[in-house]
Formats: sequence, structure tokens, C-alpha cells
Amino acid sequence: MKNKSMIWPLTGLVAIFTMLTSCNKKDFLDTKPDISLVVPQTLEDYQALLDNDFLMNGLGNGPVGLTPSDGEIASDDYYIMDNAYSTLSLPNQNSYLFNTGYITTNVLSWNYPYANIAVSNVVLDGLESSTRTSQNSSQYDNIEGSALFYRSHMFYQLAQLYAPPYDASNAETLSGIPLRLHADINEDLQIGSVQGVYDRITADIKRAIPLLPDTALYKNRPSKIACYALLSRTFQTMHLYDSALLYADSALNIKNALINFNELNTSLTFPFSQVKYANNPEVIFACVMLYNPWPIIVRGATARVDSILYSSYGSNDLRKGTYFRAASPSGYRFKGSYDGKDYLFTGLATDELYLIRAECLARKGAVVESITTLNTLLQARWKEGTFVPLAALDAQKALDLVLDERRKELYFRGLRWTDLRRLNTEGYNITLHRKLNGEDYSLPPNDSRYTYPIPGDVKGYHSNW
Amino acid sequence: MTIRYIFLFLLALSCTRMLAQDTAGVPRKPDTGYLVSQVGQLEEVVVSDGYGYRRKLYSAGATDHIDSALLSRSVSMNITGRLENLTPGLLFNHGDAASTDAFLIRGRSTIYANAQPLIVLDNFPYDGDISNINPNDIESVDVLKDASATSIWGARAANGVIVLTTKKGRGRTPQVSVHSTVQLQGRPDLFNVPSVSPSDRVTLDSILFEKGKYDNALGSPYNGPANPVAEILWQYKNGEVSNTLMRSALDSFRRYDVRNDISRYLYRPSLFTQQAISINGGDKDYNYNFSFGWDRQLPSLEGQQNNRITVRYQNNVHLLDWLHLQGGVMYVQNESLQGHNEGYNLGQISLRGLYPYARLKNDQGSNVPLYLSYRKGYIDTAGNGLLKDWNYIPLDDITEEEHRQELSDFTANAGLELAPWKNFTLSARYQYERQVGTGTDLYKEGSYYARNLINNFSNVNIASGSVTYGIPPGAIQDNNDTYTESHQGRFQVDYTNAWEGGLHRVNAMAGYEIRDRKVGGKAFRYYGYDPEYGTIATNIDYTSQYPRYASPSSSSSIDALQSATQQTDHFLSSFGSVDYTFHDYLVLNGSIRKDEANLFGVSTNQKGSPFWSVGTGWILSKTPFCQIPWLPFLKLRLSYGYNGNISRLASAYTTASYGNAWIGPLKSATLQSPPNANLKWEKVGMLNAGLDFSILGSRISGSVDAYKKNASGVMGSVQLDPTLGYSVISTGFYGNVASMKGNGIDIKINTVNIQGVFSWQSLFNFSYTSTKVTDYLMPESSNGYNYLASTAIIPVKGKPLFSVYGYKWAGLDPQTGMPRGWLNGEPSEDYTSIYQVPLDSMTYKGPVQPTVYGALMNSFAWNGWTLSFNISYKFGGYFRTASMNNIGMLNYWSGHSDYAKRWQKPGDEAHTHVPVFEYDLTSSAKDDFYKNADVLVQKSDMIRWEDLNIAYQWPLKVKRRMSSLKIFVYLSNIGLLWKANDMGIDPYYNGVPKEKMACAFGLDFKF
Repeated sequence: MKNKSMIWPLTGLVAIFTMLTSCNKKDFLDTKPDISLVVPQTLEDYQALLDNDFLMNGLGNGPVGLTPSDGEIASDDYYIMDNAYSTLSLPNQNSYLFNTGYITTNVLSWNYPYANIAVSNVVLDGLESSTRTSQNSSQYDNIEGSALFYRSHMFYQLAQLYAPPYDASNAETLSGIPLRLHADINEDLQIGSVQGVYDRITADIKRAIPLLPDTALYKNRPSKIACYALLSRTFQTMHLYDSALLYADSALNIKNALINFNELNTSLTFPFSQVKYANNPEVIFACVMLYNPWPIIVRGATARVDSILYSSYGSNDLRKGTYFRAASPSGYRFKGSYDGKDYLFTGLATDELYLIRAECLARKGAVVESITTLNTLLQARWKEGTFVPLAALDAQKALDLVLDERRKELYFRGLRWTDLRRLNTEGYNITLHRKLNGEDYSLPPNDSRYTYPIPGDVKGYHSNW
Repeated sequence: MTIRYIFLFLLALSCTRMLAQDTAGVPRKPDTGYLVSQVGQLEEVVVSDGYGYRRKLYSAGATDHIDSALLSRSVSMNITGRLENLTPGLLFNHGDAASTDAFLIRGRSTIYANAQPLIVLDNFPYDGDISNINPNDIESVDVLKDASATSIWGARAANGVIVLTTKKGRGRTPQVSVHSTVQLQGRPDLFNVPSVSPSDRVTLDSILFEKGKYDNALGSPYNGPANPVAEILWQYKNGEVSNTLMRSALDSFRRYDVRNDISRYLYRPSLFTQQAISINGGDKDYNYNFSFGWDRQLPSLEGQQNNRITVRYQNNVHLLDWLHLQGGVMYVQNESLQGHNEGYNLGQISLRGLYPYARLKNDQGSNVPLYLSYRKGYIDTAGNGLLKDWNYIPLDDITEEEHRQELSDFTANAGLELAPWKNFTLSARYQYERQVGTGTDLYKEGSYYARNLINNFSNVNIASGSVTYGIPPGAIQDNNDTYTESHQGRFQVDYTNAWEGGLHRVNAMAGYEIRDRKVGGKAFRYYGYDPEYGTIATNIDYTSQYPRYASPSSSSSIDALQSATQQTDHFLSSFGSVDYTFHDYLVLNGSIRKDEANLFGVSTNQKGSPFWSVGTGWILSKTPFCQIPWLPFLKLRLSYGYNGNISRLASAYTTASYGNAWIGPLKSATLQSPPNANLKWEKVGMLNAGLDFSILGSRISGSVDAYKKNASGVMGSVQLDPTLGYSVISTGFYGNVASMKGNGIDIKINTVNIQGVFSWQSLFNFSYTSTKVTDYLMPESSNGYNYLASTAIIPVKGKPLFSVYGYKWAGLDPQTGMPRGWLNGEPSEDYTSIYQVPLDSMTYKGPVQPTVYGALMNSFAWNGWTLSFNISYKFGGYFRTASMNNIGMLNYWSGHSDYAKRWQKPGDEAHTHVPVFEYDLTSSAKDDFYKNADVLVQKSDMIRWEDLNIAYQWPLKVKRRMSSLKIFVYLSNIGLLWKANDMGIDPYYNGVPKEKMACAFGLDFKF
């Protein structure tokens, strides 16, 4: 009797216990607590996160921009009128007068790149729980390669401000920037060496290369050629000119198109076609410089091109009329952004690759090849029939010519600050000068102010940085 | 999965029924849950924590047991209302403080999370609306206060736990209980709302008319509206009425007070009836309880009614001495209906408010319109008669809207207890609940709401005499459907043993629990609805912009009002507890619980530390070497442990929103919130030290508890390190960033003052609670005015969460009557600068909620008669009172009665703080300062006579059964005995109508 009557209740108990334990625990605890939440979890979600060109490229209507502006602001390609100074934000004023040690908060040159990195990290962490199959492999790879590229690009841009100039002799010992590599906000962030930062950048880009297509359908998306171009730029910054040459060539092998400036309508307010329409054949990867806090100095309306630099353009050099127009009451203002608008293009383009190639060749003594490369570029820049090809007797002359043209070609592309840091490390002894209301300000070569301090609000979270 | 659950439930029920018949002759296990506490017999009380029963004597926790005698003493539709003033540490807020926390145990220890105690019905948390529970079904209530008592409930128990134990079947013969109550309450007192007198307002409106304040409104029929004083003066000015007629009109306005009309036509005496019947019985192996309840409420607002029907059936079978089954169902149908009746708020939400001399019926007794949005002249001519009638007649409109809320709740539970081995009991329990709510807001075709909306979206072609409708004519109905569905299952092992003749006794328990709860709903609107045939207009254009008929320069689209929501809670929990008793006088309690939930981050679920508690009790009076003759009972208690609180504000998940990219045809997604793998519950640690005693031959007994609370990881809005990448998306995210501290004392004392044929007992409760925010990782605002909303959540370090601040008051200027504050140590009238002073330059008055509260209940009994009354007290809270708003009186038609007390001539400042009234439309800074000045902040300290209960009980014998008949009269809300403020304000009714005393008659019949 006892045994028989125990069957039912025991069955019930076993059933309940089986039911309690048979639920898939992970799925049960991973259920979204609210249906209104969009929790990114598919490859389409990840691609859409990366296609957020407002945050990943700084593009859009009235964008905030992306790449740091504080370096360009402290560079020597421009000046502002005395009366414009007072309209600037305090951080801009300080950067302009080389008081770059000024510690402030809510620094967009820091915040936006790290916001971009957060997106890449969400995608990269998310991919770990997605499965790569033969059906989705190209989509999966493209997403992974793109996220690695975006993140490396931002680490590179941040290092130009917040890490000291790269110098192999001390790169292992000096502190770089925090490398945020995971999505979780509880990640323990530490600052490693400058060498560590550049190693991470080059390694990640190299990881991305095989994952990406040669070129991208849209200018906001990364590609193999963008990886080569960014690697070339990175190695140049590291004074590793052989490697820089190698990757510039790899990029130019895929695409070497140049705009013939003779075909541009230079009288337009903005002579270059907007990146949105993908008509600019030189653009490899589009992004723009931060444009806030308003008003920012390095924009056409406020900045005047350095008068010596302006006069160094030959009268038949079409860049003179394409890049600049007369400003009121005096001086010349910039209008030649590859973004095709008032925002400064800081992305990757073939003209920069020609200049890297020419520089690297000159540095290894290949004078003829170097000058030929430079002439190919300049041919497309001068008025038809007026260009007299340059010539150089030795490598140093060739290098000087290339560096002169580099400054003239890559005006307001966010590269001058890095060049100043790089060249001064090599002994070029460039001192920057500003004149404001009759007072002189200067920034001697290799000054500690070439490295911006970590923003005050960030420091508040990390007393050990 | 649902089907599996239901199958299981049916199985359990059918077992119960089937086996109930052939299992006679097996002795029944004692049901310890029914013991009733009696004054002076603390040791007999049995406390339920939802996982089992425990004799209070052998518990180290701070708990309070409220038995059915106390619960049935008061009259209310809801169980929570009956707990008020009965136990220390449980605070019910009224008046302004009610909007902070309706009720809470031992003070608030969370900022943004729900602070309401966890409600457990028998074995499982109750997920439905607490007002579904019929108080007559509740046998007893246990209020669990400290960590030792509550931490078995883990992540949801930091606010304390209220365990409701339902009535179970008992006895051998069926017993029928009938309960019937009727409660009546007079109309609320509308004159408690401080309103400017009609005469003052008529005078003021005449002056404002002279100053040209109404010229704009009167100049064009489109602008407007204008109040009746302005209208009549305008007609007089235009020569349309004579001087005599104008004067007599103004004089008649002075004699009306709309509060009379509102009270008479919008309010009524309220009626509440409660009928309950229950049958319980069984034999020694089987028992059941069936109950039925019908509650009906006609609240004081015309057009409102509430009905509730509850049916409950619960049965238990002791199949064998080692097998016990139980199953039950509960069904509740709750319906409430309201018309369009704003009560004393009538017209307040309209453009200019309601003038105090308004009338709702004219001298002939017909309902009259109010011209609050459009002038009469406009309404009479608009659309050339082609539009719907545009008059708003408040008394007609009451029945033109029907706001109906229907709620049905079904709960089923099944349980199985097995004792296959000695000392062990295995049990499995399951509960299913589904609550479905159907809300409809019907605006009939004749309602002002529908007519006004239809007119505004109409386009009239006067030439052709045709109208095109944006919103088709007909009724409008908003539908709001909600549901809650939950499954809760538990598997539990209990172990009981004793050694050496009871020298060591152990009760241990461990188990595993699963919980799945979904809450969702959808809302949608019908336009052009015909309630009779159920037809709905479908061809509505929700995208086009329509010019509004009454203000053609602005346009808007038709609101579709559609939404759908669903929230899911998934919990997996494991738990265990051990009680050890040594020699019957030393008690050790320990418990541990681990919760995993889809609301927490991944690493919290994987690695999060469990909740735990330890407690010890020492019964000195049973200890051989500690006997104190005059102290027949003394027990010391000490406990410490942790509990959690859950907030839905924070997300552990990465969330994003979709949009379009700028380049190409690409879809773009933007991150909204970061992933937070460490997101966890708020953690509240509590230390409790207490003692229970009885002296003088148990004539005086009671308990004293002191506690300290320490809440960490409290959810707060924070700014993140910009390096994490989210500072460009939002300035604040919810995370575990704040800390709070609290401490307090709970005292409960029972005394038997007179014993014998005539007896007199007292029950005294005292509570002290103080909590404050100790840490909050958010920059404080530099402007004090951000902290003035005392019932909003704006944490300040070192202060209670809800605090009242005010500008320092420097009195009225004796020459001008202007209010003065302090600026840089000097009295100042620079209101704009004063308004912006930092918080530390303002006066901190104190917390909104009282810090000291309690009650004293006295009961007398003589020969079947009992009389008891409860007096409550509250101290330490503050509230802000309203006063005259200068610019408000110029721009609106209503006003505060303090207008009569305003400064008018030098010397007045000696007896008033109401500033001078001036015709200044330029700045509200003076009013902003004055209304937030500390002089308007009052203490809410008070002593109230809560209630009085007189009952007589006849002992009866019907067919040899024990029977009884009891009748009672119960008066509640009797009134204030004392209050701290000298402004004549009852803090329970600050600026709102004052509730009258309620009077109930009832009978209880058992046979």
C-alpha cells in the first residue's frame, strides 16, 4: 500500500524537479527584460553600428566631427585675427597660444574617439558570441576587420595628442594612452607604453587586412587599401620609412587615381565634391575633424592661412585658388576640404600616399624615383602646360622638396601636428610662433607641450594616470 | 512550458480529490500556522516567512505578528489599510508625504528602486494588484523587518517583507462565517481648499479690467477666453447693458462660491459595503476553505463606483502520515467606473483656471456651461452652426464619459509534501497567476472632449454648408489592455531533528526556486466609435497636419495613441537556512540565498556573492543560571545580514536605436547604453538588536528593537568616465553608485491594565526612523532651486532622500510690503539673485516623512462588549504650504485665500507674511522666491484620533455547534487632536478637500 501510493507523488516531485532544472539556464537568464530594448546581437545589428557614420567617421549634416582638433589648433599653418580670439572657447584659446598643458573637462578630442572605440568594442565582443559560418563568412569578416580598423584608427589619432612623439629610444619607457579593448564598462583601464600603443595599432590593422575587401562600396567603410594607407601613415609616424614605403606601395597598387585640378571649378565655394557622393577619386576612407566646441578656430571663417605658406604656392599652382579664397578684411581662408564642405577632411586619400612614397624613397636615397613620384602628384595640381618637373641633386634636397610639398598639399588635413612632432624628434628644430595683441608666444621643438595632458574629468576616475 | 505547469497543477488537484476519500484513520499533523497571539503569550506566536513556520520564541528575527482579531477590527476594502498603526516600523504616509512612499518598513533605503515591501501571499510573492486580496480571507499577517527574518527572500527583500497567511480549513464540522459591513462617509469639506473669496476676486477682476488686462481676450473672438466679470464690464463699456444691470450682476457674483456647487453637485456622501461568506471544515485528514466576497464602493465623487468579487477555494489532504497535498484557486473580478468628474479640480487644468464665483446650475435649476476655453460669443457663431455644439456643461458631462477599469485575476497553486524518511520532508510547490486588465476610456459623442476634438480637426466650408472632418464624428474610446502572468515553482527539503532529549534541536531547510513573470500591455484608440454597434472609423489620416479650428495658425496631426509593452523577469534562486536551539534557551539562525536574474549583469549572475544572515537569540528567562523572579520572560536578540533591492532603470545589456546613415542607403545604429556585466542588486546590510520581555505576571509585555541599515551599490544616475565612450551619448547612466545609511528604534508594548470581568488593555507602538544618502557620485547642482521639489528624487549627500528646503526669509519690507530674502548676509529684494543661491545658503527644514511615529490603542471589554480606540502620532516631518501667487492671480482667474491676508499698509508686516499685491506682469521671480521661502514650510507633527470600535458579541448555540453573532460600530478618520502648525492646516489634507469621519456598521455571524 505504501509503495503503491507513493508512485503518484514521487512522479510529481520528479516532474517538478526535472522541469525546474531542464530549462536552459543561460537562455532563461539572457531573456531581454523589456521588449522595447534593442539589444544588438545579429551581424546586421553590428554592421549598422559600424555604419553609424556620424560617430564612426564624424560625417553628417552639421556633424560634431571625429578626429581630434587640438593638434591642428596648436599648429603653424594658420593664424587668427586678434579680435577673433576673444570669441573662442577657453580650451581653444589655450591651445592656440601653445598653452596645451591647460587641463579642462569634457574634451571632445578625447571623448569622441573613445565613443567610436566603444562601438568597435561592442561589435568585437558581440562577434565572439556569433558563429562564423560558410554562409556569413564574408559579412562576418568584413565586420570584424572594420571594427579593428576603426579602433586602430582612433588609437592612432589619440596617440598624436595624448602620447609623446614616437621615438624608438624611449618608446618602451614613456606612457602612451589607455587601450580600451572590451565593451564592458567595468574594464580595468591601464596606460601602457608608447611602444605598446603602436604595436597594438599595427598588429590590429594587419589582422584586419585579410578580412576586408580591396576597396569599399561606401567611403565610410574600411577596406584593404584603407588598412594599407593607415599602416603607411603609422609607420611614417614611427620613423619606420621602409615599412611606410611598403604599405604606401601596396595601397597605390590597388588605387592610384589623382584629381586633375584643371578639371575642377575652382571658383566654387567648395570646389571638391562632397564625400557623400563618392565622386572624389582620391578619397580612400572618409572622416572629418571635430568641429566643436563652437566656434572652433580651424575653420574657414576664422582661420587665415599663414602668409608665408600662402605665398609659397606658385602662381600657376592651382591649389592656391582651389584651397584658398580672399577673406575679409584681409588674408586668405581655406575652402579646399575633401569633405566638400566647411568641415575639415582628415581621412585617407591617395595624394598623401604619393607624398609618403616620395618621402620614404628620398630617405633611402632613391632620388629619381622620389622626385618622379612627387612630379606625378604635382602634374595634377598645376595649370595645364605650366608645370616644370622638379629635380633634385641629392637625397636631402629631394627630401626637402617633398616635405615642402607635403605641407602645401595636405593643408588642414590634421597631419601637420604629427609632422611637427615627428620632424622635431629627427632634429628639424622647428619653433612655432604666435603673435596676439602685440605679444609673442612660441613653442620650441620637442617641448613637453607637444603632448596634451589627460583631460581633468578623465583623471578624476583614474588617480594613478 | 505553460502546458506542463497546468498539467502538473491539475494532477496535484485531482490527487487531492481522489485520495481524500480513502485515507481515514491516519493522524493528522498539527497545523501550527493557526495559533493566535494573545497579549502576554509571546512565546506561542508562530511566524510565517513564506518558506515555513517558526515559533517566534525560537527566532532571532525582528518580526511582528498581526492576528485576525486585530485585522478584522477595522473596515477597509484592502488589506494594507488594515495594517496601519498596528506595528512599529511600518509607516503609512498621508498628505503630501504620500506621494513619496505610500507605505514602507523601517525607512527608505533606496533612491530610484521600488521601496515598497515585498508582499508574500502564503508561499509566493504576490504579483497582482494588492487591492485584489480580500482582507476577510487573511488569517494573519507577519511583518518581517530585520535581515534575519527577511534575507531568505534575497534580492527583493531589502524593504522588508509582509507575509499574508490565508485562512485554511480546520475543525471537523463545517463552519460558516458571514461578514457584512456598511460604511458611510459624509461629503468631503471643500472649504478646506484655500481659495480667494469670490468678493475679493470680483473686485480684483474689475481692477484688472480697468487696467486693460482683458482687452486682448475681449478684443477678438478668437483670443479669449474672458471671465464673467470682464464680460459684463465689456458689455457695459459697449453700452450693451445698463449700469444697474452691471452692478447687480457683479453683486450677485460676489454671493456665489463655486465650492458650494461643486460640493453639492459633484460630490455625494460615500457608501462602502462589504459582504463575505466563508465555509471551512473537513475531517482529520482533509480540510477545505471556501470563501466568497463582494465589495461595493460608491466613492464621494458622483459617477464613480467600484465593485469587487473574490472567490477562493483551498484544500489540504493528509493522505498518509508522510504525505500531504494541497491545492487552491483564487479568482478576483475587480471593476471600477468613473465619469467625467474632476471634483474640486474642476476647470483647474483649463487655460486660466476656474473663477471662484462660477456656478454649475442657474437659478432655474438647469445645468449651465462654463466658458473656460472659448468665449460664449465665439461658440455661438463658430462654424455657422455647422460644427458640433461647443459648450462645456460640467454637470451634463459627468455621464458623457465612462472610464472603466476591469481587472480579473486568477491564481492557482498546488503543493505536495512528502516525508519518505525520518526527519526529512520534501516539498514541491507551484503557483500560477494571471491578471488581465481591460481599461476603456469612452468619450461619448456628446462628451465635451469628443466634440472639442472633432471641431478642432474640422474644416468648414460656409459657402457650401459642408464640413470635412479630420476626426470622424462619433465617440472616441481609449483602450488599455494589460496583463501580468507569472509562474513560480519551488522544490524544498526540510530537516528536523533533536538530540539528547531536546538538548540540541535543528531545523534546516534548503531549496531551489524558479520564477517567470511577464507584465505587458497594449494601448490603442478608436475614433468615430459607435458603442452600440461596435463600429469604428478606420480611414483616419494620422500623418497629415490639420490646422486647429479654434486657432488656425497652429496645426497638429491626429494622435493615434498606440503602444505596446512587455517586461519579463526571470529569476533562479537557491536558498537554505538552519535554526539551531540549544537547551531551549539559546537560538542560532542562519540563512543564505543566491539569486540570478535576467535583470543583472552576466558576471553578477556567475560570480555574485549570495545574501546571508546570522542571528542569535538568548532566552534568559529559560536559562537556569539567569532566572530573575520579577521578569518571567526575557529574550535578547541580535542579527546581521544582507538583502537586496532591484531596479529596472539600469540595463545590463548593450542597447541601441536604429536610424539612417548619412552616406548611401545604409542603416545606422546608435548605442544607447553600455553593457554592464557587473550590474547587480542594491545591497542593504542590517544590524538589529532587540529584546522581548514580559513582567508583572505578563501584565506588561513587549519588544524593543534598535537597528542600523547600510545600503551600498544603490542605483543612481552617474556620469561615466569619458574613456568608456558613453559620455557623448548621454550625461547619465544608472549604475550601482550611491550609498545610504539608516537607523531606528521600534518599540511595542502591551499592557493589561485591568483584568477581570471588566478588562482594559493597551497596545503602544513607537518607531523612530532616520535614513539619509551618504554617497552619490553625481555633481551637485550649484543652484539650490533644483532641490525645491520636496517629493521629487533629487539626492543630496548627508540628507534624507525627500527633504524640504526653503529660501531664508527676512520678513516683509515694512515700507513697501515686498518680501525679502537674504543675499550676502543682508536682507534683499534682488529676487533673481536670491533665486539662484546655492543649496547651502538655503534653510534645510527637514524630511518630508515623519521620523517618529506610532499609536496607542486602548481596548475595554465587559460581558461581551468591547470598546477600542486608536490614537496615532507622527513627528519630525515637514510640508510646504501654498500662499498668494501675485503673478498667478493676474494671469489666472483663481487664487489663494491668503490674498485677504496680504500686506496693505505699513504695520501689517507684524501679523502677516503675505507680500503686498501689485500689478506687475513682468517677472515671476518675486513669486518664485516667496512660494519657496522657509516661512511657508510647516511641521507636519500631529496627534490624531484614528478610530473607535464598539462591538457586542452574543454566544449562541445552533444545532449544538459553537456559534456566535457579533455586531459592531466602527468610526474612522475621527480627527486631529493636536497639530504643530498654527495655520489651521491638517497635514493629511494640505490644500485638498478634507475627508469627513466615516461610520461603519457590521455584523459577523458564525455557525
